[in-house]
Amino acid sequence: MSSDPFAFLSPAAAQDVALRTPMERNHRAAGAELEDRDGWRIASYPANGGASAWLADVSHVGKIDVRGSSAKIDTLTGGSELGRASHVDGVWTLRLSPTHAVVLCPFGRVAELRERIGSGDAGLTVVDMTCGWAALMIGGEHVREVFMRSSALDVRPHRFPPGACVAGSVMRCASIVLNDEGRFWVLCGWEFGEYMWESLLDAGVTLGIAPVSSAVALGTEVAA
Amino acid sequence: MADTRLASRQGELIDRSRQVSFTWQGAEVSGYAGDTIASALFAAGTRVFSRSFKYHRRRGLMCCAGQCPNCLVNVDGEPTVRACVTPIEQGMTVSHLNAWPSLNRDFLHLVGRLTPSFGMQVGFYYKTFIHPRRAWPLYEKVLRNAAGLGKLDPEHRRTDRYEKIHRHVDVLVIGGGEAGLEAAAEAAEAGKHTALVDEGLALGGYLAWGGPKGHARLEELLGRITAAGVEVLQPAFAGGVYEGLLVPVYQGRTMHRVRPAELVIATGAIEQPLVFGNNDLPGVMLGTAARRLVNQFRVMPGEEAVVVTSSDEGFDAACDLTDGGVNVVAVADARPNADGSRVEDAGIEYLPGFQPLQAKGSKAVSGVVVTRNGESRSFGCDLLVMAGGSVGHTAFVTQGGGTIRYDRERRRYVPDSLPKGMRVVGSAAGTAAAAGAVPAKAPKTSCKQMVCFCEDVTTKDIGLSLDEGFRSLELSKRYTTVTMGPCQGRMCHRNSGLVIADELGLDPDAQRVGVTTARAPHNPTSFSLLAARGYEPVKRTSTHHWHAEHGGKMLWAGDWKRPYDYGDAQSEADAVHESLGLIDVSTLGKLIVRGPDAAAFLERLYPNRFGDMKLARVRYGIVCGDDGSIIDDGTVARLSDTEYYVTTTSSGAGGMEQWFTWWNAVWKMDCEIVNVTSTIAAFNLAGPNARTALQGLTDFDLSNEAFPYLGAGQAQIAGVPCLVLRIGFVGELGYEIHLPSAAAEHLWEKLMEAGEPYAVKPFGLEPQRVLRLEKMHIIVGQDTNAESNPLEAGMPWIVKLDKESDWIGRYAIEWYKNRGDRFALVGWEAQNGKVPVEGTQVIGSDGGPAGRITSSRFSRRLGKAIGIAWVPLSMSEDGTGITISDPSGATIPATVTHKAFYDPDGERLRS
Amino acid sequence: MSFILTCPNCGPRAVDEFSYGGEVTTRATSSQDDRALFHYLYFRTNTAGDQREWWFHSSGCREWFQAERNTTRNEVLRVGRPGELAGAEAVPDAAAASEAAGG
Repeated sequence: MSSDPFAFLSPAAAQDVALRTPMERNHRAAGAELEDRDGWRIASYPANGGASAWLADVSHVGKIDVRGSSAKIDTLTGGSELGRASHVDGVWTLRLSPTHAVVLCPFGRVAELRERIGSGDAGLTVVDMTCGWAALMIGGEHVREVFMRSSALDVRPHRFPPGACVAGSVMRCASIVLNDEGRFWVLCGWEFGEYMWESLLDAGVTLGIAPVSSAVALGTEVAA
Repeated sequence: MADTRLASRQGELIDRSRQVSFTWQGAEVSGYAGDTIASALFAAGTRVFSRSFKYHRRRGLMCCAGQCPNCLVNVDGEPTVRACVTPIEQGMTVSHLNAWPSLNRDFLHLVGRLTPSFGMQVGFYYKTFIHPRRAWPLYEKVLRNAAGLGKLDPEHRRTDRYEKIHRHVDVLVIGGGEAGLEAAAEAAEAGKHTALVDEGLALGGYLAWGGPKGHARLEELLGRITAAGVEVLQPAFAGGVYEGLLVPVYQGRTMHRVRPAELVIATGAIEQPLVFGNNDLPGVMLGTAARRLVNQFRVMPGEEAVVVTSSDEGFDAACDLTDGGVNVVAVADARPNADGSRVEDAGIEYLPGFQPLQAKGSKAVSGVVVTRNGESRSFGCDLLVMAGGSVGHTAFVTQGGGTIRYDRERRRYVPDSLPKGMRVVGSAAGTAAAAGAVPAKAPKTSCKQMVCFCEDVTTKDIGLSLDEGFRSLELSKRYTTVTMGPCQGRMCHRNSGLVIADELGLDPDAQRVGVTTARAPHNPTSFSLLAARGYEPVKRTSTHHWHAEHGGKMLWAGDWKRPYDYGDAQSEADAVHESLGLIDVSTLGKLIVRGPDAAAFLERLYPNRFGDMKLARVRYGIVCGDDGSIIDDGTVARLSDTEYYVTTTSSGAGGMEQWFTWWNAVWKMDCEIVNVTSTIAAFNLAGPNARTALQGLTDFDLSNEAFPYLGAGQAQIAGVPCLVLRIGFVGELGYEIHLPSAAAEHLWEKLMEAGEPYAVKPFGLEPQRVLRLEKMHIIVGQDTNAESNPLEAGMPWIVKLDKESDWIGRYAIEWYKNRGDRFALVGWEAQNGKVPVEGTQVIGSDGGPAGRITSSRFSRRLGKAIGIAWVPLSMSEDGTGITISDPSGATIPATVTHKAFYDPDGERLRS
Repeated sequence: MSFILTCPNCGPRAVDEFSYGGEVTTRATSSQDDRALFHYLYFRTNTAGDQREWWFHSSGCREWFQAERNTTRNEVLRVGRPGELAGAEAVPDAAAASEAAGG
């Protein structure tokens, strides 16, 4: 056995492998170009600055599932409350229960963060869930209107401000939702990725929804 | 057209500058923008709009407010549209619902008149159409054509888009009349996020249709609503009130699924009909209907009118009618001592103490007879207005879990207890002026006195139901169907209660008279609106598209799509035996169990022993409920001292996660359980050439010495980090490869490429079923059921009763052991070439069913039909001959076998 | 059914986000006492009134909790993490569990 018995969950441990998100066929059918980035096949959509609602596939983002006693999770999250996420240095930490947190980070940092969080005798269970959840991002002026056609979760501004996170049903799938400065992350099981993509696009049809590149969604590229 | 309308006036809904034309029964009709179908047709001279449900009696406008069934029509192919609340649109095609061959000449009406009076009485369908029994198919055909209120086009395909939007608000007000507008304005002005829904053609309720005197107050309230930012949903209607104060609001093609923190019911009051002979003739209408026609559509409801009333509301009607140019000949007031000066001062004959006996006329009303203590008066009229008193509209109160009671003083039902978060305001709460005593019905006449207009239930029907023993409103309702039609009691709940109370000699508030609960939907609702977008979650593995693109027949397997086969199941199974096959088993449930107590936890959960497992080994296990029944099976691999990797069945994945976390919520052992089913894809590469093909892709030593059967090892295969388990569901040398889902398509393609020299075939679920059956491997849930314990299922070796720890199912299984086995799960093979059907019986010595076939397939490899069955212990010895039933009536002889049909010693598996 | 149930982690949600786990029971730990064993396995109190029961937030945090619900009014009185509700002996309902696990 290698030092990491759960390496077989980690796409970060793959070498020269074309890593794919569940929405690859959706992107190809929409005519998007697929480029290699850090081993992932990432869809590149034409810039769509005019969209009042947009959708992006950010499934390649690193995701880490952390479980342990609430005291130990407190030290990890800096004591953030349930339903709140902290954003430090490009890394989101979502507190979903006293004994459960989820970390979202750039793919290239997964190994390092897993190491750091699980290091020592911390007694935390740290699992690479990069391929556990497909991740989508919806944004634009009509983001809440799209969401209200997809879920009964209360995302009114005073109930779901920036930095809030919630686990609940979206499009009838168990999901995790995060408000990232007015853009919503939606995480659902990897096996639902294609279904979630198609369903959210459909929900936003009357609101003019259009797919955008993940880089635009994540803010690493400015929309035209 | 313009000639028949009254002069223009503030508050009218019609825009006389815009003409709109549509067709009615194929002929073109013209109206104004703002007209409803009913008002435009009425203005054009139509008086008969439909035929009643059972007797097919002619029906005209009665309520003009969407409460009664009389104007239900078909609009552009959509049935059960209420003409009186549906605005006309250019080019609409409107036709009648349920008359044949035409609205004016209805064959079924003729049938009703010719049949003896007992023919169609209440409950007739329990007493007729029974003999001769063989004529039932004919009866059914006739009845199907006679029943129902409209035809659906079976070829119709929805072309419009319907939406469902989830809404959370602080306050939802149902009803935009005076009380509702006031409540909404107040809430919004206090800073609450407020929505208001109103089903009317214009906001305001009575302030809008009651004539010009309400307009100033309406303007004021509308101003406040707008200024305070109330969200107005109009025209829209609340479909019902469900648990948790869930209110679906239907607006056009959108369902707003509203969860308010506070729900205000401001649904107002509904005027009730009076019960007397032929009270359903066209031309007999409610006072509020006549007033709406005059005030909102500027249409004269008739020329010569009589008003029959039991409250001052009748006076309001008489006055509005007079303003509208109608000659009101008389007002008959059931109250003997009311002050009729308003009416008399207008020059109308006032008859205190007179109640209606019967309306005269055959196709439409031509007159009325009123009576007081045996004295009668007769009048000619073309309009008979009934003002039977108003009843608070409390359907949402009872639907939401509240109760209503009969208020003796006010002679109406009022809300009694309310569910948390709901309040009732305005006339729905019973605040309107009291009515006088309403006569329950007219003295005996030879013509029908309608109580329920939707279902054609008469006073005689109700009387018969009481005679037959259905002696309360709840029972009578179930027998007569009174209050069960589209109006759900809006027009008949009060009156049916009064009739029953009268018949039984009770007060209307007696418990036995009782109240009924109106059922959702509040108004006719299409299924498209309920279904909306129909999002149906579908799970796809990471190689789904590869399978589909290569001939995989993708079918539902639970909530996953999986390939049944790739075109030839038997050849795919043969390929695994002869050379090499590859199957996607990514749907397997996968759990990480990790922590200092991980081993102890597994010991407590499984009948197996896992505490003695070595590192890098995998073992088959079953999970039992505490009743000792098998609930799942799978494998457990030990990856380190404190880390285990558990697989479960595909359909049991979620259930096992729940099961594991549940027990740990009780025991609180020091271990974590993480569901990694989605994260990891899994493939099974199986066949005599599996080792050779796989070795080419990895440095991991796959030789039998280095990696024997039941090993678990980590390997980098084609660049992908994997866990390889040497287990054998399909009975040949095989490797179950677990890897990150994102790398699945890459590795699948590499494996297929590496397998090409060996003619590798992808194989699907069906060949897999045949292969596992050849090895007599059970499928939990198919070969086992909720009563199957491991002792009888042929797995006593798995149960370690000598384990020190307590484990789930221990005591029940100990109990079964003491009791002894009654059945056995055994294999069988059939000799004569017929393949038994799964689910058929093993026949006992007495000729009755003794056992059951759980799995059955023809194995081309073995050249015979094989399977698994539950048999009584007496038939379970190896070699016993059994007989299997067949749906054709024939029987199939078979032989019991305990050893696997193929490679019973597992040599190929362990090679 | 659309009533509201409050998950201790995630807050109030419609009941269709949850899986029901049956009554909180006391586990039998012997095969000798038939009556006690069968009672635990197959009998339920089935209270018409306040009932202690198990719930799993299947669409959300996927954790177990307990609730006290009045079964005649279908009103949830309180919720708590397993063992938090005073006097609740935390043992799953064996029969419901088997069903839930797909047996």
